[in-house]
Amino acid sequence: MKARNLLTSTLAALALALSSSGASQAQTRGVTDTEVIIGSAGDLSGPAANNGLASAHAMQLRVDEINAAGGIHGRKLRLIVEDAQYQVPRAVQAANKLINRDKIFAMIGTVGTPQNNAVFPLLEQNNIPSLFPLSQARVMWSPVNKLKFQFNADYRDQVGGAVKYMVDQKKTKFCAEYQDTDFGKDIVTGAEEELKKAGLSIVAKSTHKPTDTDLGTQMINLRKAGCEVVVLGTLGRDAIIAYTTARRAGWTDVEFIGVSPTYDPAVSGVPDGGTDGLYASTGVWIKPREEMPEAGRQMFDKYKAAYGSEPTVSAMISYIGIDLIAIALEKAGKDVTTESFLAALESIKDYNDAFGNPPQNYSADNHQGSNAAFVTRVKGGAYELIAGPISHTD
Amino acid sequence: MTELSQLIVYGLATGCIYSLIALGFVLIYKATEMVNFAQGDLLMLGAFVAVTFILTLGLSYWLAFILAVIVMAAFSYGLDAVVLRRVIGQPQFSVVMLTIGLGFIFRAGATMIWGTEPYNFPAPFSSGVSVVGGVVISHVAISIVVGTVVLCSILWAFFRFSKLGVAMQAASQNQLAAYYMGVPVKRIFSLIWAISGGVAAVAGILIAPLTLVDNTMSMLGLKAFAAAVLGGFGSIPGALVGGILIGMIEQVSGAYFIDGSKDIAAYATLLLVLLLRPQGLFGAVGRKKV
Repeated sequence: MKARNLLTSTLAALALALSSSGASQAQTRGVTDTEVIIGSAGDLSGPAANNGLASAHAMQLRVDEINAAGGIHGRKLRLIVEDAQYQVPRAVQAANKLINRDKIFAMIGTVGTPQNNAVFPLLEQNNIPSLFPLSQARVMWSPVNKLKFQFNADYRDQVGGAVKYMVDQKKTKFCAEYQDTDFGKDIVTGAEEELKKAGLSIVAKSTHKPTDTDLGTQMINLRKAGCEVVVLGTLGRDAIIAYTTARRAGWTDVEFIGVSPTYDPAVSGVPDGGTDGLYASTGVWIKPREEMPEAGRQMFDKYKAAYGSEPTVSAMISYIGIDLIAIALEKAGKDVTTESFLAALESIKDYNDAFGNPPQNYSADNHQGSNAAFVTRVKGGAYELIAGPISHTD
Repeated sequence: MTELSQLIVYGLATGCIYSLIALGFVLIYKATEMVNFAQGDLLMLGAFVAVTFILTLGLSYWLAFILAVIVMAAFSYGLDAVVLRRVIGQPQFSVVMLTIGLGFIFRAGATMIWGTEPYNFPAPFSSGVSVVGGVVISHVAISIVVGTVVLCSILWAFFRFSKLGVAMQAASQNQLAAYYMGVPVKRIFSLIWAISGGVAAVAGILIAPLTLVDNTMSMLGLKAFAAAVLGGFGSIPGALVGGILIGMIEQVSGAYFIDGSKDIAAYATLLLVLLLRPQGLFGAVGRKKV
């Protein structure tokens, strides 16, 4: 009996010794001699899947391009996308899988504000960077956290730019129709901050659920309040419902402004010009293909050939995100660690993306590449640029 | 006053859709004592099929409408014949789980086939409006109400005057007696499923210009369930009235009570009815004697 005990403890001690010696030689997590593993908790089948799928496709496209060109310091990029279906518990599940089983180096393009908020503590515990999520909520990069990076105007910057534009147009009565979620509230906060600068405030607010299919009462209530501008804290579908409901009810002396999720071909493409006149503010303005730089035109063609539709904002954001990761990996050198990678990201200056957006700059105390917004408006089934780039902090 | 009338117009339109879905619930329940929790998903599939006919095959709205209803009726017939007939006689619980499961499959299947982008549904009257006494009535709303009335009249006449309709009533009242009288009960049940599927498709196509077509459409099924219970689960007129009531209550509570009450109004009403009048407004369901 005693002998067996002795044997067990010896084995245990041996195992311990082996594992700790293994740890001392461990490389950076997610980085092997041949590859760097990047994870994403996307939405491939839930309510935000139009964004999530486009993002997953575009990320893979850029990853394939980089790998075809020989990878980075001899390593290939490997992208693993999990489907979180725009549900917080599934996002956490996906993140756990990516962190514990796949041992990812960095997380990119996680879809949704509450999902990112739930996943970030897990990333932080494991010292994994949270990069360029598909949420433009401010908390994605501010207050500055060494692991969090976002490159374009967040919702507050976007709505701030649009509100600034409307205030310049002498509008004074602003209202809000928003999803009763962190996402919707963030947009309303952004509008309020900007209005405060002009001594104004939001005169009426009304909310709905992401799955609502009817906003008749909400529009009647806002109309009663005499709004001149309605700020939409919505995704695409509810923006269409709100806008077409208001216009069909004959409410024409009012402007509607949405943020980047309303800047989507599904919104501008409503038949019979149903969304004509709707404003959408975005941090990534899709130029006509002919006006894009060469790299953008190539991506446009490849994407369209592979997936049958033109790249959306989400696709471009994630494509740019992978590009930025590749640049930072390149800069960090062959012996990359998480710390040297983060330092390399912070050192990126005057980065011009493939699509001709405003240049991005990072530093140790700024993890947002650019806060410039573009104000666009639907006309004849497409978006036309009205103003921008506008930086509301100027 | 104009405002209240406007709310009633909105309520009537959405209410008619709830009514049609509730009608699907009730038809199946009356005949087979199954509760089909996939009714909202059949509505979604109907809308997807119609939008495919219009956008991909370039058919006209009316042709697409008729074809989608036929496709969904055939699909639902098959669903009963192949899947649901096997659980007859099993505990209610397994039927509930089965139809909830089917709903999941339909939603996931729809995402796989049609993707996740919401489709705009082109209808000949999607952008028209008329103003009557200060109340703006969109032509889509009119089409929903007219469509509901026409469909209900056809169904009423079918059940009242056609031999098949009478056979369906017989089968739903007493399966065994009907069977002895030579009614092919199994086939009748499948036909009832076919009618429910067709009605769901009509509802889906009627509301699609308002909501766009994507997989969140199936959420309408839950509220319609409240409507069916409100009306008394076994009653066809009850389902119709229940649907319209839920539609109106939603709109009015959203406008006159605190923000957000619109979302809970349907379920709050359902709870109240279950407390005060458990058999529903038009309750025809007898209590089981133990």
